[in-house]
Amino acid sequence: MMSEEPIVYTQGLQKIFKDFWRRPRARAVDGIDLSLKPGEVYGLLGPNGSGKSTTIKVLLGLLHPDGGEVRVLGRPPRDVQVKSRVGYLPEESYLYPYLDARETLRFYAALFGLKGELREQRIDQLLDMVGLAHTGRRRVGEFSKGMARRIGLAQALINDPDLVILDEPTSGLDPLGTRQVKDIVSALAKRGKTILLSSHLLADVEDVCDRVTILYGGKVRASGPIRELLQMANNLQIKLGDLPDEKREELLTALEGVLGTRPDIEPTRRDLETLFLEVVAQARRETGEGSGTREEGELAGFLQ
Amino acid sequence: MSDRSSFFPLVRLTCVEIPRQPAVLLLTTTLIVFIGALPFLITHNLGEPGKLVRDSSLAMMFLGSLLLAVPSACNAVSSEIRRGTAGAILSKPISRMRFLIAKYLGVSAIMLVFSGMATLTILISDRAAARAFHPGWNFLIPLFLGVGLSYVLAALINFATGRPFASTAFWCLAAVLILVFLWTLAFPGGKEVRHEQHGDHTHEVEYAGQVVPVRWEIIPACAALTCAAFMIQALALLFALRLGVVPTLSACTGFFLLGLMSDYLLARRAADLIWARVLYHVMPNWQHFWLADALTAGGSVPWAYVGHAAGYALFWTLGILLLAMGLFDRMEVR
Ligand SMILES: Nc1ncnc2c1ncn2[C@@H]1O[C@H](COP(=O)(O)OP(=O)(O)O)[C@@H](O)[C@H]1O
Ligand SMILES: [Mg+2]
Repeated sequence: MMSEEPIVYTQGLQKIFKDFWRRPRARAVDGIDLSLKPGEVYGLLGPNGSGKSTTIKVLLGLLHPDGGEVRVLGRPPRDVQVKSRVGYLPEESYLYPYLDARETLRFYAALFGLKGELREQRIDQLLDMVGLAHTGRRRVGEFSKGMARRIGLAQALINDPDLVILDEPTSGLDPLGTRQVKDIVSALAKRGKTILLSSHLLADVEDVCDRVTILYGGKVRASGPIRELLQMANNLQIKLGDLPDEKREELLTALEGVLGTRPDIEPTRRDLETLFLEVVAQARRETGEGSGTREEGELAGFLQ
Repeated sequence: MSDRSSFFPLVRLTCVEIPRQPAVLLLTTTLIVFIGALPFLITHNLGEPGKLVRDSSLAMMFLGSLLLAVPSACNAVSSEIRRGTAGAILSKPISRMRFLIAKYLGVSAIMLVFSGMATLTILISDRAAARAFHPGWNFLIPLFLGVGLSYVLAALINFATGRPFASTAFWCLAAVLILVFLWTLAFPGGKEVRHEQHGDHTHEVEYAGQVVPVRWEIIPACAALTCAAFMIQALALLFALRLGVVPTLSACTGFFLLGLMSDYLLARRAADLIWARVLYHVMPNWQHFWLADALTAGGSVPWAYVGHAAGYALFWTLGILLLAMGLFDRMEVR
């Protein structure tokens, strides 16, 4: 793969929504610059209405930019060849309600010209990966929001894409599903795929993104590697393991000697996500296997 | 990447989705029941037995195609765009042209099935109307029973397999109509009643086993109307790209009426007014597709004429589809 050329490149991207009579209505995207390197996970963050979905739809050639430059995989986004290398999970999973999970994936696979044994194999692996292998003939119209997201994700990966664009991949998912999606995203990135994901749930994406851009009102407000953005230059943290009380006292006195003031000390808290995942894992062990969806998080075979 | 293999799933899905709208089933059933009811609603003859029934049922079929074209085109295009499924499909390696043509073909396939059902019903109802004041119940009873049967069948299938009722009933209706038609071919029986003059009085005399022939010439007449339906279909698709159901219906109805009155409104002025001449040639002229009059007086409709009409329809449809493609190519899909 060409490592020089950005996978996604926009320069001064602008999008103004117009009404039926072509009068300008809303300036949804206002000068966004993006440049995605191969193999990275890029987060597009921002509150509702900040222009994330609009940007993504421009990248897919569904909306036409009103200004600026857009290249996807080195070509204009409307190029049909480009699309065979892109996987897209829409913001809401747009599905044909009367098809079941397998029929849905078959339909999307057929749009890529996939057929026969290869197609069925991929579908099996994807259904397994997103934990929907047991839904049988149930129609996707009856799926819960989380299940619809999962089938949407499977659909986005059916063509083994080089660029995966996920619009709010974790919305509607429980913490377990969120963790799984994040694991899948990380695993995909490790296989050299480039991932662009959007989210307004910042904590959800914090630990998978390599770089993020924070949008507000269609403009870039902050951008850079997530470590640098989150780092606070003059504020350090010391992490300690289990300390007996007298050792702790000793340490604090020593530190007081150095700093002049006595530093704050408090026990480390695990975050709620870790606690939740532990509780659920415990419950699963007790009831013997899970219900509804399975938690694999293992990448489908053909994607590896 | 194989082009054809990504094309047919789109056509097929369109065909599967359209009859899932209850409106399509409702329209089809209403049309069949009405055409079936004509022989005993219209009980007088003008000149020739069955003429009025035949003319009315052909007119109904024509109007029915207009009413079917609109919701199917809207289902295929505007609601797919609104629901977001169009965006999901166009983010795959499907060009917009391919998408639109697949949609048109899918919608046309349903239109073809619809026209086929209407044609079978007209053939049956025409036989039932062969004699004034004596609707041929031996033809009509199987027809009405068939309609009922397909609903019952669809309900059973829905109960057993959970398939959506509306589309199942639509396909059942199509299959059952073929069976009913074959049945009326195989068992044309019943009693034939003739009016015989005995001095001053007319007597009704029953003859057993006399068969009312199928008027096969109805088929080319229906085929011509189907060509017109394909034109309306293309028009509906064009409007449905930008408009919702009601505006699309209004626009198509406008074209439908203008096309009906084209000879009256435009032909006379075409001689000396340029705009009238241009409009006369651009507007669809339904007169070319209206062959009911040729059926009267035992006339037949030459297939060559139908071929001509089909050529005209094809040409016009291609023009409209090109317009639609031009529009859709620049359109935003949300
Ligand atoms: N189809 C549309 N027509 C008009 N305005 C729109 C349309 N879609 C989005 N917008 C406007 O564009 C802005 C950005 O929307 P969007 O990109 O969906 O935000 P996000 O995905 O970040 O929540 C919003 O102000 C929204 O109201
Ligand atoms: Mg959004």
